[in-house]
Amino acid sequence: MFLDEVRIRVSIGDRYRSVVSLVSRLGIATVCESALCPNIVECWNSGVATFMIMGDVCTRGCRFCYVVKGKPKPLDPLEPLRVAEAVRILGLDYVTITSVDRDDLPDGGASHFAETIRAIRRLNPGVKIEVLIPDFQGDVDAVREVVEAEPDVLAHNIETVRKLTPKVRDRRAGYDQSLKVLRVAKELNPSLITKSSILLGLGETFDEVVEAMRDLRSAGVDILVLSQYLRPSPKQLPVARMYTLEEFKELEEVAYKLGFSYVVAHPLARTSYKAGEAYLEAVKRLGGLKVKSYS
Amino acid sequence: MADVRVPEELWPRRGGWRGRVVSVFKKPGDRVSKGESIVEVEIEKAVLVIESPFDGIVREVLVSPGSVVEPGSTLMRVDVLG
Repeated sequence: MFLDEVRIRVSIGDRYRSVVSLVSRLGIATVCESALCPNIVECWNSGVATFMIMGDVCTRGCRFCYVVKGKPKPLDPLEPLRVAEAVRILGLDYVTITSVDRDDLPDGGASHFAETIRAIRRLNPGVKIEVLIPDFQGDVDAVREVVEAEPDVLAHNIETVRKLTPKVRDRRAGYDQSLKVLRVAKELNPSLITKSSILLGLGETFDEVVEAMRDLRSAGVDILVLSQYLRPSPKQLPVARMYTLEEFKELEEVAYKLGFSYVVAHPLARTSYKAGEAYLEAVKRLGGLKVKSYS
Repeated sequence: MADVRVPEELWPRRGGWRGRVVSVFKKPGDRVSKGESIVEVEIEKAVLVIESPFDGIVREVLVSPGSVVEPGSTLMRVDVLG
């Protein structure tokens, strides 16, 4: 079966409106809006949103992304508290947080990310937190700072296969740099669940996708997300091709054979989409949580 | 009479996107129900299926296939019933 177009039924309910009101009032950006996510109606109607911290302006310009690129404003030191409050009001038991790149900050925003995790937990005991982090330019100390704040899942996207990385991602990003972030996070805390995503349809071959999946497994990644790349506007890269549902299924099977604990493979899957469900499945298959350790 | 617009609540604080009307399902004089599809708009990423927010009778249709619209663009004018 072929998904030749994505259809979004714009059926906005009261719960969606309450999310609009909340994020506007608290002044928190969401990647749902900034990236023009096609799942926004479904997610916000369920009272779930993925917060994007450190503003809505990114220092990088990856060729698949609709987030505004430019010079970001200084960090808001109260943002961690705002996000924690949003989590409390929405009554979330699983939170997904991502950010823009902040290459203008000495630590890339790692301490702000860590503080956000801690603030959410202080106000919302028992909540599970998943962070989708930038690469912090491969800085191990920055990655350590986030890992030591004890997120339940740490995600970082390689986005595409090795060969297409220079064309698809900003020049400051790097395929090996991203693998390093994931590997380091796992080394620092072997019980931390890690996650990564690959966008399909940018011109990669099947073999290149399999190679990327192997590389992610070598870095210890537990959860894999495979998505269809959708061009947000004429300014981003065109879609090279749309994958069929059968092709997604085939790649999903290969991924499980390679040893991923959980795989989400669907055209509209995104790293943070239904992340709580993915976490529960991954934990089940990993046989429960192990003892944490830092090195 | 009320305006039916391209919802500004869709990606509410991320403007700058525009779309092209691909289908119009109502004409003046047609009854429309709340939640019924009235227009489809194609943006780069997807086709948006716009619903009527009210029950009513369509009085004016301001777009046709090919019309360029953006968040807030008026699509139709409807006499709201009830």
